[in-house]
Amino acid sequence: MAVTAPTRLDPGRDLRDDRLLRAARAGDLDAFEALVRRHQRRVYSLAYHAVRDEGLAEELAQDVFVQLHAHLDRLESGRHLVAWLRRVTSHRVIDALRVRRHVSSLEVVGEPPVDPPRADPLASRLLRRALARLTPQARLVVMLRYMDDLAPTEIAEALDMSLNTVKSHLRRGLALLRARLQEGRPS
Amino acid sequence: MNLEGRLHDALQPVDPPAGFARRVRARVERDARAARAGGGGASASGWRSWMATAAAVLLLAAGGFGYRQYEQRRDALAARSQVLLALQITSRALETVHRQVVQADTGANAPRNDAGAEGDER
Amino acid sequence: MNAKVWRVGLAALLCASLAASSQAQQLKLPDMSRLAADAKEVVDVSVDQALLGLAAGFLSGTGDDAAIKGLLNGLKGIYVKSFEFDRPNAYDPAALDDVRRQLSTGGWTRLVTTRSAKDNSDVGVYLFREGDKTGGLAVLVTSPRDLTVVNIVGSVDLEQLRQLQGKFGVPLDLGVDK
Repeated sequence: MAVTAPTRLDPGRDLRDDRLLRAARAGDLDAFEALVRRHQRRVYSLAYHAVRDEGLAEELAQDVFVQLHAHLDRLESGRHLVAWLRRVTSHRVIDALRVRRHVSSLEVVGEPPVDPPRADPLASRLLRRALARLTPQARLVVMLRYMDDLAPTEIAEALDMSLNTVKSHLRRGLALLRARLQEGRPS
Repeated sequence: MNLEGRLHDALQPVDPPAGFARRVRARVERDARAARAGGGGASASGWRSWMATAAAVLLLAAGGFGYRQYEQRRDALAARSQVLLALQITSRALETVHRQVVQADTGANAPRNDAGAEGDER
Repeated sequence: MNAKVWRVGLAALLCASLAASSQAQQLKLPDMSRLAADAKEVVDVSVDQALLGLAAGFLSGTGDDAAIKGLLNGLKGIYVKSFEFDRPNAYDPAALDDVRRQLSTGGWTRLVTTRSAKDNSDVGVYLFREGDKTGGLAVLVTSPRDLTVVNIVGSVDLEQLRQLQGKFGVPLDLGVDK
């Protein structure tokens, strides 16, 4: 399914991505590497927060960019690149989460090296654990909403879901998170 | 702080490990080389590349493994072997220590003239 | 030479659970390529957290594999260098001086040292501690023909690890308890 709607409008960034895309399509690996650098944080963050495993997150992120290289000619412009990356990353993450549940009984809920300065470490840990217990789809919906500030319509497009399904996942996901945080709070 | 604020905090961007873009590029280049080598004829990577490609083709024909899954499985099995070996070495060493301590406790190896044969560590 | 053993309440300490750790518990192992060149057999294992996750995924959830999997949970890395030589005193004992220096500083604590008169082997077990938390394990094994360094970073149950002896299904004789 082709990606049709761009996300945020950032003319400067889009033009730079346009130039790099054109060069990468022509076989310029330096341009491709530059594209990777410009978008690696976005892709890796989504993978990492979903799977909570540095090694798996890097593997998934690498897979996304390798797939990008194979499909450069399908991207109409730099404006579509972000949406494409988000879409492909989300699907790969959901697939990985589904496989992991069958393969391993280990619940790998690792911690990032440093908590953000204004975060409460304990609350963040509880929240991340609660997030990890959502279904893969619900987890992605919540993450895209609060990590990338996407509107429900954009989330629906990224995850190939109906708008109603996205809203339902958001509503139930937030309710579950609130309930689990309440359970985990020290008395 | 409300839940939404906490979610924003918990989901802040994370950079991949250093050298990520370089590794992606290296992988793209490697895949391109492997694809060229599998296309027939000698290549710069030589017979190893051909063998890797031949093995992958055989696996595909035999059981439906994709090449990527083959690589993952190979790496995971290698890691598993290394882990088992390391744990075995460690457990044997700990068993040796344990046995010698137990023997010392029962006095089996503690000669009477060895002052300080038993005592607390630190 | 008489056997000398320091009793340290080993059963209690072996059951001690180690907390999750930071990178400080990883020993900086020196370049041992010269040892490797002279050795009859070399084991060099370096498994970081990512590889541990990969390995754990290929362990079944039953039997001995389940026990090993449980052990791996919480580990951040496993590093082993082991050398076996075909004649006694073939290596320079100073090869481990740097490692011993690291184990005598910072958060490292010697848990127990044993010496066997039978085969002249020394085994030292060390724990990394930060305050009342522990987060790393090191084992040094030396004998006239063997030299082994083990460094485990992360949370490990020592007693559980000891009891896995003989359950790995891989025959191994590195002279640790000859």
